[in-house]
Formats: sequence, structure tokens, C-alpha cells
Amino acid sequence: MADFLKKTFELLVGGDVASLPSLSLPKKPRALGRLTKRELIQMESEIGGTLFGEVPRGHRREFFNLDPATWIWYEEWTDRAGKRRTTTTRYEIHDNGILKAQEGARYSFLEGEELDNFVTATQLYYDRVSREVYECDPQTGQPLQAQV
Amino acid sequence: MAPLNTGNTISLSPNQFEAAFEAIAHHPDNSDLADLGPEISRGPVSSEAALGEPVKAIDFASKKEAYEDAQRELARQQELARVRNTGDRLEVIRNRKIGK
Repeated sequence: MADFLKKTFELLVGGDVASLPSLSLPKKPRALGRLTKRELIQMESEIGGTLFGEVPRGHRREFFNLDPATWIWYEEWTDRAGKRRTTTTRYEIHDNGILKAQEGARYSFLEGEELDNFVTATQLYYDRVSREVYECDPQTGQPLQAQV
Repeated sequence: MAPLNTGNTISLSPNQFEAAFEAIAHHPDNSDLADLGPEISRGPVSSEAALGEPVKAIDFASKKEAYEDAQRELARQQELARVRNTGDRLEVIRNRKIGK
């Protein structure tokens, strides 16, 4: 399809199309029929993984909301020795703070800048997921089409 | 005596004030004010004298620290509430999509 567009563009403008910005079709939106909760979370996590900037080459990152009181950060990469590494961090919302639980039984409550960043990330996550996965306004919860 | 125009603000020197007060207090309509003259002309009473005991110095440093602690705790509680609220709202739109 991209080739077809490129040729069409070449026909229209003539000359060198290599200097033109690359032509690509937007990803086809997924059909949102009856999806399971797991599938929805998978779609959310694709967005969540992009919230913290560019994912390093060879890394796979997921960040998602598992349930109202639990958020998960998952990162996977290959180290210099070629060994596949993974790390999972669970953030639990408690009455006395947000507990960060990492592998190796490391626990700590989020504080300072890390807490601020986490809160901001969850807000961004909700804003983007509302629009891009559920197609609803993050403020009102109403379907986006209904507001046009 | 002409009625006072209470809508205007005027500045008086201490002597002018004394004179004005005397004039007002001794007006027949304001006889109950006459007794206040000496008290008022004496000037502000020190808080020590008014309370009958020395006024303790206020520990502003500890008060400021307590205030800042309270502000931090409030901010933390608000952030927690925001995150919890976000989780709840996600659950709602997710369940709506699932059809629960």
C-alpha cells in the first residue's frame, strides 16, 4: 500500500520522491469487539511503554494498570553477554503510600521526584488510553464521537 | 455640630485627634464617650500589661516545620487520591468495554 501511495505521489508531483517525507499508512485501528480484560490491558501496555521516552534498542517495555490498586512496569532486554534479562516492578497503592516492589524482595515507598513522576505517568496513561483504546474523553468518560 | 461624614477617611496628627475627640466626646449626644478619653489618649497598652504576665516568645521555626510537614502530607494524600481515582476510572471504562 505504501508503494502504491509513493507511485501515486510520484505521478502527481513528478521527479525524485526520495527527498519527500516517507509515506506510510497509519496503523489500522484494532477492531474493538468483545475483547477480554487481558487483551485490553495488552493494548494499554503498548501505550504505557511509550510514556517514559524512547525505549532503547533491543528493549521491550510495558507499563500498565493491572487493577485499581496495582501498576506494573516490565522491561526486557539482552545484556552484553547475549543473555535475556527481565525486570518487573509492581507499584501498589496503599493508604499510607505507593509501595514499589521489585524482584529480590526489595520494597520501598515512592518519595520525592520518583513519586511525582509516577503520578504524572499514571495521569498520562489514563489520558492516552481513554482516547486511543477506549475512544472516550478522559475528563467526561463520554464517547469521543458523541462530543463532535 | 455638623454630623460626621463617615464615608471619608482623613488623616489627623495626634494633636488634631485629641482635639477632635474632645469635641466629639463633649457633644451632648455623645456624653457616654467622654469617659473613654484618657484611656484612648494613653496610647496602646502593652500585651504584657494587658495579660498580666510576660508573653511567651513564639517558636516560629518549629511552627514552620510543622506547617511544612502538614503541607507535604497533604500533597502526598492528594497524589495518592489521584492515582487511586485513575485506577478506579480505568476499571470503569475497561468494564464498560468488556460489557460488565
